[in-house]
Amino acid sequence: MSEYIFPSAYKEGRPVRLCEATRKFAMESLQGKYGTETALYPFVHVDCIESWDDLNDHQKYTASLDVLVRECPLRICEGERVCGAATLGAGIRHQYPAARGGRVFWPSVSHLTVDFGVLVREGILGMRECIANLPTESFDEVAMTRHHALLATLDAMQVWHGRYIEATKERYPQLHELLLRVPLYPAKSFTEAVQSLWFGFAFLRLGGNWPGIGCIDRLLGPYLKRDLAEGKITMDEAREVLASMFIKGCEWIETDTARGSGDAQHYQNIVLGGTDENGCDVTNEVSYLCLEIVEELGISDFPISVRLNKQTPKEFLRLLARVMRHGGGVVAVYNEDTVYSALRAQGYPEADIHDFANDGCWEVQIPGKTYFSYMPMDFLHLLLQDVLHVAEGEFVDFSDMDALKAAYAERMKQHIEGTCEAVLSGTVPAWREGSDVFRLAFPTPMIDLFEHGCAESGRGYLEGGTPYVVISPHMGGVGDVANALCAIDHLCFIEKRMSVPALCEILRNDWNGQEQLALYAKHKLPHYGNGDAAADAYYAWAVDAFADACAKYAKSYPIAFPPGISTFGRQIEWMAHRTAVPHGYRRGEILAGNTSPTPGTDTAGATATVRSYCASDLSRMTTGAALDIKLYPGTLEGENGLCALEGLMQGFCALGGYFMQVDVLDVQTLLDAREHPEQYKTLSVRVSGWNARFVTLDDAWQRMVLERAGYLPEEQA
Amino acid sequence: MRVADIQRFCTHDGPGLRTTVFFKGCPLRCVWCHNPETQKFESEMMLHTALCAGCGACVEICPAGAQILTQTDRYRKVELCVGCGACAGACPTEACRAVGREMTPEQVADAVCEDAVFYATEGGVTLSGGEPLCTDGIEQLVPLLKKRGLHVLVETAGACESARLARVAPYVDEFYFDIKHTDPQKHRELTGALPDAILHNLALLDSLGARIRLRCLLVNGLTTEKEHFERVAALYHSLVHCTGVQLLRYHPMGGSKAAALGLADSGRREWIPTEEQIRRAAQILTEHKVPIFL
Ligand code: SF4
Ligand code: SF4
Repeated sequence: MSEYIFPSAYKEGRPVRLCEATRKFAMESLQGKYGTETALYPFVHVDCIESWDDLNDHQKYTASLDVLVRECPLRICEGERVCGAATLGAGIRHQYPAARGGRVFWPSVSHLTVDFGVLVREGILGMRECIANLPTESFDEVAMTRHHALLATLDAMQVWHGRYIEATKERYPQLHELLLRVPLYPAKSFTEAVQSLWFGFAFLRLGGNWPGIGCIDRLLGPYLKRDLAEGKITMDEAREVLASMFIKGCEWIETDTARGSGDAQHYQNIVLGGTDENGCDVTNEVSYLCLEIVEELGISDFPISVRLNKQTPKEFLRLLARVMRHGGGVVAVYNEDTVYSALRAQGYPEADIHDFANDGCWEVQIPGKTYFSYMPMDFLHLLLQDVLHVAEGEFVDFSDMDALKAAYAERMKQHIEGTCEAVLSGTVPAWREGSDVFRLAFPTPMIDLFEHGCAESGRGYLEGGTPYVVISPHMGGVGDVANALCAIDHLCFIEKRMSVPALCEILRNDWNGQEQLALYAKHKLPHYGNGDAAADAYYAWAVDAFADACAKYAKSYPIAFPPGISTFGRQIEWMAHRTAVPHGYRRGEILAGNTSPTPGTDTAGATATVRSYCASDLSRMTTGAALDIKLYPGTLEGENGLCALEGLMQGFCALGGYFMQVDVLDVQTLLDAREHPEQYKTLSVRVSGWNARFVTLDDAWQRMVLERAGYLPEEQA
Repeated sequence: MRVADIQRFCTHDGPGLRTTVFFKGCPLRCVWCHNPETQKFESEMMLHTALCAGCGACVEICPAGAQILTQTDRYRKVELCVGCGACAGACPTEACRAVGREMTPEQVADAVCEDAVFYATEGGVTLSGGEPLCTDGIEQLVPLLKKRGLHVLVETAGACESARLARVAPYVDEFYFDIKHTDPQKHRELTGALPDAILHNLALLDSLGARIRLRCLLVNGLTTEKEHFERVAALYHSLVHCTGVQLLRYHPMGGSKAAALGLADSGRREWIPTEEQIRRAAQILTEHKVPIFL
């Protein structure tokens, strides 16, 4: 038994494997002890730097980084097995934590997975040598500033590292020993590899960046295998070491967070399992340890995604199901087959395809080689506003469904084209005039160290230094688009109850005076998400039309615009500009997130929802399409519950799904958490592709989570 | 075949992930019935007042004046209702709903197979009710499901024709067989029928080599006596192919459905068994070397 209980949606609670000291450390970290401490020290003042105005941006960056690593607070926690901490609070707010005149001046980088393997394998010194020896004869002045900045950044890391060596000398001999070797030199053992990885990660976060870690089992697995074989470590010891890293990863959780769209994660994704270029499954001891740690501690700050394929070991799938059952949506899954098809179609070389990770949520990218961002687009609004003109009242009378679809598809095309052209002409004018550098926003040398191509080309992460530059247009509201099209077809063409303009007039009046018809549209018409082939056909059409609209720019250069589907939480902010919809919902009602069905319309259960979601060719959604599935703990009891989760995942893969997030929510728990937030500090829920602590969500978000859980607030019941 | 409901993602009706088909109609009338909407063989109307939006469409369309909707009242006069189903068609919210859909065995099998990709190795289909073995067409359906490679489980109270049972048995992977009560008189009081034919069917199934799990519903004060479980143990030992006994707990949720049918709410909180009663029942069975499932 343990004094520290980590919340679970499953009645039998979580297993206890880690030692009591580690569990205590985890509880403190999750309850915000370190995050609160970090927030109190937001940045380092760099007013001392002389002739500031004479410096170029990269010199400003590295000069302030030098001050920062010398002056930032150090943190060494009792019981930690790996050392280093991102102790500057501005990082939590996505800023470079250096200030002049009391103000920070640069943002930082997120939505990427970098390659920490370089540091683990080569050490700081190895990396330095490699960069110092790069051929720079062809570099111009601009490229040379990047080159020097990289070397200065490595020096800064070494200074920071030196301070930890010094600080551990007296009281922490084990950590001290470890730090004397890594990350200065290549890691030689599992513990060294974890320390090295963690140090690189913490260093980037010290500079305010939010990197993902990616395929951690591929990186650390071989070290652990060797140590185990040589009897240097046991699985229990390895678990403690790795747990330390997971717990330290929660050091940005604050006790009292401002409520908003959820704080709990900083895109520090981890990807597990999957096959390598020989088609062999790579699941190893580290994959199991990662899942065991989150199974025990319920840590959600490292969102984990598992790459499923036909070879995924049965025991691993079972462990995955066990973790899922505890709720919190901590672990999600990719169907590797679909991801591979999507990446192949995009033209990535085979070697890169097998390395895929994500940007921190679930948008797939090639780690350490990709600049990534995405453009959220409300396609429901596009339909209501630009095709049906609901708000303006200048309605178009479509003669049949094909005419309406054609107009909508054309509008999609124009929208994508307009947006991509705007990005290209706004961002890359220099490139168009023959320069390699196409975007100068702010320096990123910390990131550039871990992104392939940057050092070699003398270009930064935001300047086209990476081999791939991806800005993904993301279709939002697809579930509602499907339901809206289906409702229009039924009301106006199949049942011939009214013309399209007449329906638009009703929508303009927000269904007032037509309540009965609204109920009919909401409850009796077929809806996407119930495994109903006729309704799902509208969804499949919308996905295809969107993919077609993106085709022209999907592989363009220097920026590619491959499509994906998401809303994340934007269905909340989009509420404000959306009108009433043809499927019976009024203005201001919460509609569908990601690729999920409209809340309240999916009544046929999880398997039907998965079938519907898989009814389109998801491999056309290059960067991904997320499905959120919500289950109740009561349906997942015992052995059968685990079989059910496994069956759900296997079916999801067999039908060609892309990314699925299974959350196990208990309405009662959520209601209680609403009443007593202080008792549910660590209760995490995944909302639309990322997870958050429930108590940090504001009212509209909590309402959405509750509605997804099947709870109808009084005013609607 | 008249189907009351097809439920997917079921994890309480047999191994793995399953689809459960509830058939309409049962010859027994257990006082504690959990699914009163499956007792009658005919289609019935249900009214879920919680879903009613008060639009009045059902009142307007009802030819019998059976739908009552006033400021304070919302109910259906069961004695007036002629079961025409017009209200269900008109109702925009599914508050008025007909339970009992005519389907062919092929249609049922197709509906079940829609989820086949999720069943993995353990899961499959569960036929329940009502009494599935009293449904016409069951002899066609069961071999059809088997032919499609599904694990088929039948939940039965054994109150059916023996010949039909014998024809179906070879295609069923497992039977969950309800033992309502082991005292013949009590059996009659509680279910409306004597158990003789049922016990005969149980023995028949066993002689055919069917895999059987017995199930006992614990209803506080009605089926919780010590002697009952001793006789259940004896029954278990009389069978060759029985894997054990499952203890189920009564819950009063059936009452809400009775209310929706326009019947008196039959749910009784005092019937919920105590933990002690469950523990004792399990203990008696264990003492008699009966494997139990909880
Ligand atoms: S089913 Fe009954 S209540 Fe409904 S319309 Fe017909 S007679 Fe009226
Ligand atoms: S038609 Fe349906 S929603 Fe309308 S009053 Fe009747 S039961 Fe209620």
